Amino acid sequence: MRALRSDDIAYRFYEEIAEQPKGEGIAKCLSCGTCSSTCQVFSVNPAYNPRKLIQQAILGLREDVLASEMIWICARCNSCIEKCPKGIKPGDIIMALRHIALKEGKSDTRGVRHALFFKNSILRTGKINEMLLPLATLRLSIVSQIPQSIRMLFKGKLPPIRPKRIKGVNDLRKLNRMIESRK
Amino acid sequence: MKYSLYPGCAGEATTKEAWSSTRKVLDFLKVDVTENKAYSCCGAGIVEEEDPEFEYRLNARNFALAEKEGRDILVICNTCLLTMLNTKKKLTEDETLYRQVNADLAEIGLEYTGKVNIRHFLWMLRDDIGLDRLKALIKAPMVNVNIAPFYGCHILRPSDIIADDKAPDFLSRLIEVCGAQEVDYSDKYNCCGFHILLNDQATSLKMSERCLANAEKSAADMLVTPCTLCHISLDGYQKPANRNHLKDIPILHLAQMLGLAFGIDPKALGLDKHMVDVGKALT
Repeated sequence: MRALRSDDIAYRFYEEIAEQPKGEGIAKCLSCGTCSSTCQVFSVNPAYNPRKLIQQAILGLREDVLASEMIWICARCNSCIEKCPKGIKPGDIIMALRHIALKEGKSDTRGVRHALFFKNSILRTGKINEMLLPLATLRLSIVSQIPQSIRMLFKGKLPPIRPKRIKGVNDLRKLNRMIESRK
Repeated sequence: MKYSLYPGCAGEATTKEAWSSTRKVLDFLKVDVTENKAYSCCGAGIVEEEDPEFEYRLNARNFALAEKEGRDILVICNTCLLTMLNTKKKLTEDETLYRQVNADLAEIGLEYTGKVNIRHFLWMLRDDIGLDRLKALIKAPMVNVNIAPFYGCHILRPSDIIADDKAPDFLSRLIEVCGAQEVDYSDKYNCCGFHILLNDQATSLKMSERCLANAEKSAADMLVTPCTLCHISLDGYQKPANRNHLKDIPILHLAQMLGLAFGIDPKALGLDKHMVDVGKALT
């Protein structure tokens, strides 16, 4: 691990998180670790540690946390939200971190590409294009999915390349334009 | 009750058999249900990460479409359920948001009043049909089959959005009604790992493998789930997850289990569409 310098630390980062939708609980965190001990991802992959992520965020390691692949590995099982003794909703704080990372658009991790695909796809057809989602997320590592895709192909389970547009997809675009015009 | 069936993206693409078997079972039960080709994706809570305002409007538009027909929305995907209930809660609690959303909906000729209910197929079976009526309809009880229930996170948690039983046993009761043996095991309320299947596949597969391994240890012949996304993880990705050479465990969608016990043709229930062969476990 590299040594920290004082200019690595964003002293007000936890306040910024608290202002995001779903981020309001962060200041109450005691770092007790109940989130990690109930985390179903942590139990199979200890590299994903919500307690550590939230602690890093409170410490102000803004750039490290926002660029981290780790914030994209929460499986949203919501077990931590049920068990947190301070009622903080640790999983929601991870979502608030994702929200900031997506707004800034600085990192280009799998998780970022996966999340950004959703709205794009919906604005095109009204639905998620499940054929292109793995490609957009994994890019070249898509080759790892070839055996699985062949199995799916044989079962007729490959999603359509061009899903049918919903009726009224233009209404979705109109709703989006109204949101964008207020930003 | 009058319902509008919301298929969800998975129900229209990779788990079409969950959707088609649900239709078959709803027709069998004579439930008044329609479809609506104008429904958009719910945003899956993922659009909310990028643009919460857009996700709330996506759902409010779907709600308004259902209200126009005077129907409640019926879902077969736990994540659709949680995402819709999340928007509904936001619109109920935040009056400014409710007004803004309705002002935008007015521009596309729609209005959301809050009247629509969001119901999961599992809840509909419990609350509208009930065990007694289901029991009377069983023609082909699944004797000598051990079935483990797998609920899926988003029909259970978080409590402030899913105002339902936190440790439900209705799936177990349905297994018994179908004439099968219910398998109790440690993972019935656990996570299949679906939502990180692309972001971190190795971790996701370890999560589903653990659920399958524990079900196998408890002598399950198959699993039943009410969620299309759990179905993708547990059935669709069972082969790559199965690195410890466990035996194959077929995964039934809830409607398929009921359909089989009602005596509906397995092919009509899409059982031939599964990645893990179901036939072997039933013979």
